[in-house]
Amino acid sequence: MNGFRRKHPLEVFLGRTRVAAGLLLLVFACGTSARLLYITTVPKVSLAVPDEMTALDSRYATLLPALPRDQTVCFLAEPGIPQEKAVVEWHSAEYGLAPKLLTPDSNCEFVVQLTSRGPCLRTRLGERCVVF
Amino acid sequence: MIGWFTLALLLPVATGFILCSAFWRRSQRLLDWFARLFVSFGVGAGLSSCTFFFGLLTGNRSRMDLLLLDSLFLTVAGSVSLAVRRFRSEDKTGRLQAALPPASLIAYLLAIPLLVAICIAFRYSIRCALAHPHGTWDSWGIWTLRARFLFRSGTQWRDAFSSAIGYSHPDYPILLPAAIDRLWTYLQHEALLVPTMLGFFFMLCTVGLAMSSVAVLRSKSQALLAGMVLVTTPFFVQHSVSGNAEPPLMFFFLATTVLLILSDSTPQMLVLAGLTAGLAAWTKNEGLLFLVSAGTSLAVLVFVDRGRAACIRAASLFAVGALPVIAIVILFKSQVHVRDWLFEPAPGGEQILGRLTDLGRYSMISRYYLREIRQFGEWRISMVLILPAYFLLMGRLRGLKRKPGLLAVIGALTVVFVGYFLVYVITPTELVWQLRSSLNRVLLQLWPAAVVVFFCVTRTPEEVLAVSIVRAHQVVL
Repeated sequence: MNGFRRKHPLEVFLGRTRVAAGLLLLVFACGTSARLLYITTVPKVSLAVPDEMTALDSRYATLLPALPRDQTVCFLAEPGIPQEKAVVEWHSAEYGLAPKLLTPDSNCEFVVQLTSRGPCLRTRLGERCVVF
Repeated sequence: MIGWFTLALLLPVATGFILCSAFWRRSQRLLDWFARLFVSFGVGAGLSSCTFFFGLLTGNRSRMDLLLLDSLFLTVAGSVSLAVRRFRSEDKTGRLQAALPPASLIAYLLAIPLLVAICIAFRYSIRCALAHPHGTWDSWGIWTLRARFLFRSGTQWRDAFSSAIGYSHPDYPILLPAAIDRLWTYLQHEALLVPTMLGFFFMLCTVGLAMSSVAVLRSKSQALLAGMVLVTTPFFVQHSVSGNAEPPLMFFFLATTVLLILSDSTPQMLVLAGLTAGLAAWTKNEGLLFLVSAGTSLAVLVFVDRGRAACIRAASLFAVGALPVIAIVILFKSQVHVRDWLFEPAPGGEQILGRLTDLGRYSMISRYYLREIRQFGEWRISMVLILPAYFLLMGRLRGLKRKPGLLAVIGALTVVFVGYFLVYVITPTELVWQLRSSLNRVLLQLWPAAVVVFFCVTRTPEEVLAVSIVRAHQVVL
């Protein structure tokens, strides 16, 4: 009987130790990730500057009223522009110019052209590409 | 404007709450009420996107039209609720475990770090939404783009699914774009923060539902731990305001999980489980896989545990909830006439059978799975390693075999997990790019549901302590 009595307080102790260890482990792991979130939060000063997408969107929004309502608009990247950059710009332009459908082509009345100086708009017969 | 916005939020919430209350188990407990409220929020938002789509199809898309449609749907929900209440059965015990003391010292101690973690997560999300109001590429390249097309194009709304913007996956269902568009219509302008704030709303619902359901099913301390694990998953918090469809999808996966577990005691909740699984399918194509997996797992496990009659009853209740939304999904797919890109030949001309028999693809996907499972949450210390250690320390809940709802959830999540693997095998796009750009998000979709299941099958701290104390008392007496 004495053996049993000595053993069971130990069992209680072990149970409590397991619970404490489990909770500490979990809370500690969560704490480290919470700290990571705290550190990587966008600083307040950065909020004053619009992000890249906001700037692009506002730029294309100015172009939207100048484009015909029922026509498809083309998108073309100047030779030499990396394909990845051209694709991102095409998608951004589509987002900004929705519901215009932009097709990666040059056979349209209006063409949004991506040059090394940025995007510009030209007409089929126009000689100049107007930066907007 | 604030009045219209309030109306836009209140009408679907009321519809969702009435509908959920009709099938929810009878309980006066506050936590149960909270769980129902969080499910109602998500269900209301999901169903309101269905009414918006109905308005699109019928040409009724002005603010007044939407108000009428929403009010009509509220009346229908009320009628369903009245009809259902007449045929309700009595509930049995709802908990997975015998009643425990309401709140232990452990729960009070855990509340403090949880509150701190919630504050940090909210601060992070709100700052992130303000810094990047258009969200990530997936947000402006797919979801908000589609919402803009629907909002700006008037009667030409089918342009949103044109092959000219094939990169934006026109075959994806439109729960999120429709929900955004609906709010824009009520506000009468394209409020910039609506897409990210919708994601934030679904994150709140996800965390709230995870905590309230674990509190109902297990204990308060266990609920606090589940909440803590979720709000300290950096990728989960970042993604909540990314403007992507993952926040609503995570919510509907979680809601189905919770409702399936609760259906062990209250079978009529399977109607709601079917409804939320259907709304997952209305959110993203991945939801279709989840819907089929959940329905099949449920039918199989109920058949094994309770026989054919119970299986037919459970499957019917699940189908009753899912069918209205499946009908909307089918209607949508028939209207937009877009082929599913997944089954198309790869750019190199390789057909689906060739991709299925390419063993190199299996090996590569396995490598990425193993790596990503450990780190998809972007934790400082991987939770995927910590949770098994915690499970070993605490032990497993007894009597799992008598819980077909819980086992069905585990089965459904496993099938979805394997299903995603097979989707990668057949994907026609460049495999490494696809894995790098989507695997972490795909795993995140299952995370809240997996966390709830984990804390349902793990013993609570109070249970571990109680067993030790009871055994010690028995010997002393």
